[in-house]
Amino acid sequence: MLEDLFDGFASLLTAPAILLLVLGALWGIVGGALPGISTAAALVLALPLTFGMEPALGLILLAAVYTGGAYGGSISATLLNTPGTPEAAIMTYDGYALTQKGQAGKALWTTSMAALLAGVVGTFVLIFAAAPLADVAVSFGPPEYVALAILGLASLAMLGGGSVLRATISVVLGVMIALVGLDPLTGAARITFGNPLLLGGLDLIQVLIGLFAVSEALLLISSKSASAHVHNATLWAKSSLPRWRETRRQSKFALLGTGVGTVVGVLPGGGATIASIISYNAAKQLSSFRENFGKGQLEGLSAPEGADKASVGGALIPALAIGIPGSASSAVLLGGLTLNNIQPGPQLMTNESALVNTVFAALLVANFVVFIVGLGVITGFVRVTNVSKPILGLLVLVLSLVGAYATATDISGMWVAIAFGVIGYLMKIWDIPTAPVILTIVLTPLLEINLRRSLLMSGGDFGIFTDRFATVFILVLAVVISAASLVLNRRTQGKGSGATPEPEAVHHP
Amino acid sequence: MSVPAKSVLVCSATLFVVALVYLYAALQIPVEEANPGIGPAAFPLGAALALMALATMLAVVGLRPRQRADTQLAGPSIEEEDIAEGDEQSTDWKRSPVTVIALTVTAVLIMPHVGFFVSTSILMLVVFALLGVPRWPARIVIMATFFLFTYGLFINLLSVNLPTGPWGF
Repeated sequence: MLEDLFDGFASLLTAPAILLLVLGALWGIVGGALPGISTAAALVLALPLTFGMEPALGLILLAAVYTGGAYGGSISATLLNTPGTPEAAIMTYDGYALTQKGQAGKALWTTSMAALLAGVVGTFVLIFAAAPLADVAVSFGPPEYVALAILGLASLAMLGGGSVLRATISVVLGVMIALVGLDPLTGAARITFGNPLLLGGLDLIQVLIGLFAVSEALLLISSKSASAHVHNATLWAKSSLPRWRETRRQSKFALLGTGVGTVVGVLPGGGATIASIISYNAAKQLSSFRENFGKGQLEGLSAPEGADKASVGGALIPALAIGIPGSASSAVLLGGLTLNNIQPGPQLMTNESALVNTVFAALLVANFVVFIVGLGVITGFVRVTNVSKPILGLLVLVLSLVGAYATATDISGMWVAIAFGVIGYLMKIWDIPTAPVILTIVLTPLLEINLRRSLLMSGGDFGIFTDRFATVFILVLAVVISAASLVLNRRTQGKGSGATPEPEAVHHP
Repeated sequence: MSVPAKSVLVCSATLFVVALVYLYAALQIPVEEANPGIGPAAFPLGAALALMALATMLAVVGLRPRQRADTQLAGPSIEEEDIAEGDEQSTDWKRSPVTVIALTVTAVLIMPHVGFFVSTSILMLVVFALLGVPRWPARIVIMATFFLFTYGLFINLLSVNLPTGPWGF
């Protein structure tokens, strides 16, 4: 197996392969960073480019785009409070807080290094543990997915540093938005008010653009201060460069996220979103500075970034091993394989060993390429935040309109973005967090469809959720984590935080 | 920084009204008698009722003097950072969200008739004029850069057909 892997590495040592790795990484990062494009869309757009290429080169390009896209979402989440991908929404809590404190460079170094570590570890897991993990993925049924969704939703209400009540309101709002459209099991129209445009539901990306980008643009434009959020914050400032002690500390949390991301990412439909929520919550429980979560604590970035990046490898495990994609992005990658007459499934590793190992090698090397290319892209992105706030707000606003239009290919996308922009602005004024809304929109279909399927399987008997060990285990975990978070939140509020300490000042590794 | 009591009331009332409207829509969903599990209306009904309860709790908790002190002790949330001291929202109507939204809505309304580039140019020029910044050369540079980026990425690379006016762009 190692010999085949080395052969895969050797196939990367050509000028076309290196060029495709760099360009793919760049395109993936940009696509992942810009709301309205997303990783899956970036992959879809790259797919036609592979038609005229040798299969190996085409797969190298797709692997680089996939890896870059998984990282890009955290850039805009950190700098502009606008996640480029739904799974990056959780990083707005601490990433944007750090940007507002003039520490955007430090935040982005943290996410870059966490992404590199998690990507490399996650890819090794993919290479050596695909088969047994795929068996676990297959064993998960609707009751387990219900438990997983409950774990995710329960965690959401406890995240960040604000009010649990307001966070719960945000979760419920997310549920309400997710339910608009046709019922997936019966086809009944729900909450459409007779409007045929709502039968397809509300587009997640348009809602994301509105809640985050448009609302943030409104805040920026109406800001009194003409100066930028970021003061002397460049990626290469001495204050931004990581110190060894901090790097070592954050790497532990990145590995925590990696473990979560790999396991949860294996589950088809589970994916990076749930992994990022669970890893954030886990980091908050384990951190010595949990009271600073939501105010700019680096663990709040390294853990979910690790989970997000590791889920790239995790999502590919069922895709390559049994032909079931773990995410939309891995589905596109599978499409790339199929276009080259490569059939995913149990025989893939034996029948197409050379090509599969080329993909493995490309994914591994792409992590390093994304790290290097990403630093270059970030340097430019950070400069953007140094412009005047109102002008930045105007640019974000018009770019949001374009992004929203691109997802719908008509004006209706812009209207949805504007409407949710107003909603997002009101939520921010009323201190209701917006990140849980997006994450809940992703989790609600998972919960509802599998809950109803489970009850159909059991004839309406809720005992199906107590008969299976994995389901009970995850549900108990959800209860324990929620209770622990509630206790910790109350203790944090009891201590008081009249002077919020800077993240630099609080940790004592 | 805590949310003022008046805002808490307005927020609670708004959420309650939203929940009521949602509940009304949820009650229109057909009920499946033969389904042994839960039907399509279960989640919407549950969500509406949950929001009504939470809105009520928010009003009760938010208005209690003891709870407001606790909220202050919890410190600002991430969203409050946006309107924390030193970063306050302007009261000037030219910069108010209402003005910006009104201008944006107008731009989107006229977009199908005059095209994306013309309507967005008008929007940007009006907002620049209201803001009073930057100076004219910078305005032209910013707009030109933005439109070049939009054309290159969305129209050329992604083949997104943005609305065009009678003049072809």
